[in-house]
Amino acid sequence: MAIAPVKRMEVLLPRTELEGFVSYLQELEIAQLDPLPYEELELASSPAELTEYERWLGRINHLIQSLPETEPRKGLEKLLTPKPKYSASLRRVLLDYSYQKVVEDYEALESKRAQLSQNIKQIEKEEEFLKPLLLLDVPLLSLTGFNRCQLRIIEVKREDLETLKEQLTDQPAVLSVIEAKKNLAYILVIYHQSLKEEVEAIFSGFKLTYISLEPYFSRLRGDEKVSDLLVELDQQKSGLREEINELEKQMASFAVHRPSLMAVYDVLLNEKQKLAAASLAGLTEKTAWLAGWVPAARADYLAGKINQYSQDIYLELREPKPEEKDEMPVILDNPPLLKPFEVITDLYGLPQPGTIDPTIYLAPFFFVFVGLCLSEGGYGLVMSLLSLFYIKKVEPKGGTRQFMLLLFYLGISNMIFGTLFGGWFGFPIKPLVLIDPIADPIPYLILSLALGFIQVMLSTFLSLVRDFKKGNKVTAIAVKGGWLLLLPSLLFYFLLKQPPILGILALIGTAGIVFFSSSSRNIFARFFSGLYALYGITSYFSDTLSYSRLLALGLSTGVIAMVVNSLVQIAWGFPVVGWIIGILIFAGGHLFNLAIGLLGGFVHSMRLQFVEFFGRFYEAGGKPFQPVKLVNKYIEFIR
Amino acid sequence: MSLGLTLAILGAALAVFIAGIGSAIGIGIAGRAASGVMTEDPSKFGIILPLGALAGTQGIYGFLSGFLVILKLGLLGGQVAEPTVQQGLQIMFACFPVAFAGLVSGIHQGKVCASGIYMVAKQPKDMTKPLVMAALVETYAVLGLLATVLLLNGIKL
Repeated sequence: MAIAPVKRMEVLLPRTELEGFVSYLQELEIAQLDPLPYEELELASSPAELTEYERWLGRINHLIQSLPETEPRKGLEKLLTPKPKYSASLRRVLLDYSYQKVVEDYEALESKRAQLSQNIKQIEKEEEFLKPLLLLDVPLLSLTGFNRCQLRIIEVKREDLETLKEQLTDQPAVLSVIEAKKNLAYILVIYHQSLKEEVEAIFSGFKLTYISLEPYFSRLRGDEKVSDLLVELDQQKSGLREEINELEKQMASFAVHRPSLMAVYDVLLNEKQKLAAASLAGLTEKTAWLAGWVPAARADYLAGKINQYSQDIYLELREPKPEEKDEMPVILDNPPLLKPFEVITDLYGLPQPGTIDPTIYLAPFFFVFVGLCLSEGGYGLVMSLLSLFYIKKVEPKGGTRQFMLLLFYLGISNMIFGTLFGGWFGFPIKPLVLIDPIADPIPYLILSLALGFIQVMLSTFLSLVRDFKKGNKVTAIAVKGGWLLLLPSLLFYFLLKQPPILGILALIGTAGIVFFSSSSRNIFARFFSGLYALYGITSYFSDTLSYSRLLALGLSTGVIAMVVNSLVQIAWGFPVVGWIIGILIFAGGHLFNLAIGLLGGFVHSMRLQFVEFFGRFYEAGGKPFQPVKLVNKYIEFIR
Repeated sequence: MSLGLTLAILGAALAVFIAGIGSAIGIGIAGRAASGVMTEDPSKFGIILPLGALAGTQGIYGFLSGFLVILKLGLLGGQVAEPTVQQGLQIMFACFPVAFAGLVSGIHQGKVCASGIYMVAKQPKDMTKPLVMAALVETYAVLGLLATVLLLNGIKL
């Protein structure tokens, strides 16, 4: 119910056994390995060579991503399919599978396909070039071999065409239009060599492009026209397309390898992790030294396991030294019922070693707050059922599983508080409703503020405990205890106007705060800075008021649910299709309200923990416990 | 229709559309950031969506307050209330907190969400932290709603 103690682990073993041992630790998943001060200890260390692994992982991943699934699943079904399971002992065997060849073969096909598509692009470019000349209905060879004449094919702007024609009329040149499009025109101009300069001077007055068919002439065999060239290109293109189709069929046949590749990927991934972990060892010529952390509760189990594994391994498990405390990882240890709430603590950041684990204190409040923010029994039922269904179907591990369990709890909370303060899908169960916040919000507001006051007091108490443990015993009791005395008595005195004993308690509390807040020896300085500390009452006040959001959020879900139901009522009156529209509005509206309400309720309840509750006592900054373990992306290893 | 009723309806309308403008601008800002991030990595849609949607709550609070006024006036059916001019003005002013707190906090929440989206783009594991940051801004819309609800509750027709 707090932070679990850990033990420092030191292992000495023969260098030859290092990798095998780390691999074994991966399967046990209970030991974290840390780097050592190598130079200080005069030990060698060898950084792991991981690039080769990374390259293969990248290549295999590319294959997995581009291959179709053997049993294609879509959307929700994909989300709900658990990962395939493999026994951890199969890891060696899976590596024997000749994945290198599969990957290389596939990549060869792929690069061939890329080459072919490149060729197609080339052909398409050529087609683009030739198409405007399609109407040039003469054999292309007949355009060559003139001695006295110059022959030009020209692309010119459409709007310049007429001007160009006019200017050329004075010259002994023939101009014929091959094709005039909207923006561009293609023309053929023939003129005598001797007039070259004059004609080209005219050309230079326009923005135009000479089109050269020179490269084609050597390829021509007889009297092909442009249209023949285009047909030829088209044939080439469809030939290439067919080849690509053929290749893609071959590539698709690789899909049978996909499941094995997925397994190999994860095995290689773990090999890489193993090498990275093994590289943390400090080395001498023949021995390796590993150091790290183990949860104290599992220490004996680990010792037994290692004893079984090999006799050549020396293992020491001991209490951490004071100077090692900063490196100590933090493991939260709560009863299974409270485990899901560790998600919230974890989101803020783990506590520092030796401080308070807030999970058990925030759990009941968080549970109630989300229920008050949504206060919808029907939504709670949906949440609980969906999260249970997900857990059953997908069998998630670790954080995801805890989060789903948390949603399950929050669903239950909503069924309780929805019945008491709200309704089920917008319909209140009248005899069971304690407070109806829409009709009378004040009692609900008082309830919210009361819960807030209790949590603020709890956080003050926890800060007393923290300060007391840290050594300032007198100050902790006088100041924090002073607040704990002052605030409740003040509150009840204002509510009840008596008995006078409350006033006396408040004064005692105030005295504690005024005289012990400052550590100054000067009595005046001490008194006045103590008076200033009393000003801190505003923070208690504003923190408590902040809990009024529970009312506003609770109200909003309830009212929107009501709005949805009145829309359904209106739609129900439509002739014939009324009930269909009604059902659609009901389902869609409530789903929307559930999503928005849960988002708001969750985030605001979390904020109340993080800002109003944690602020006074919680010290985050603990390092998470990260044991060497089997990681998985595509498959799951089972023992 | 009396002037009192007209003023009360004006209040409901203001609550819905002014707070709605705040949310619309806020979601607009966050939405643009979200699309930008998704051009790089479309698979982030799922984790970005809550941040994109969070600035929408102000509009909902405004709508909710408007609906409470409609209920109070009995406009959904039954006997329509006949508030005096004073009561109409009271209802209208009661709608101001949610309207204006919603307008400004919606816009600023959108900005916080947008930078949160950029953060999630780089650190997908930390998605709840920007959500909490955005909720810090939303507090003031919630308080606005609270004030409106309590004020409306206090006005007797």
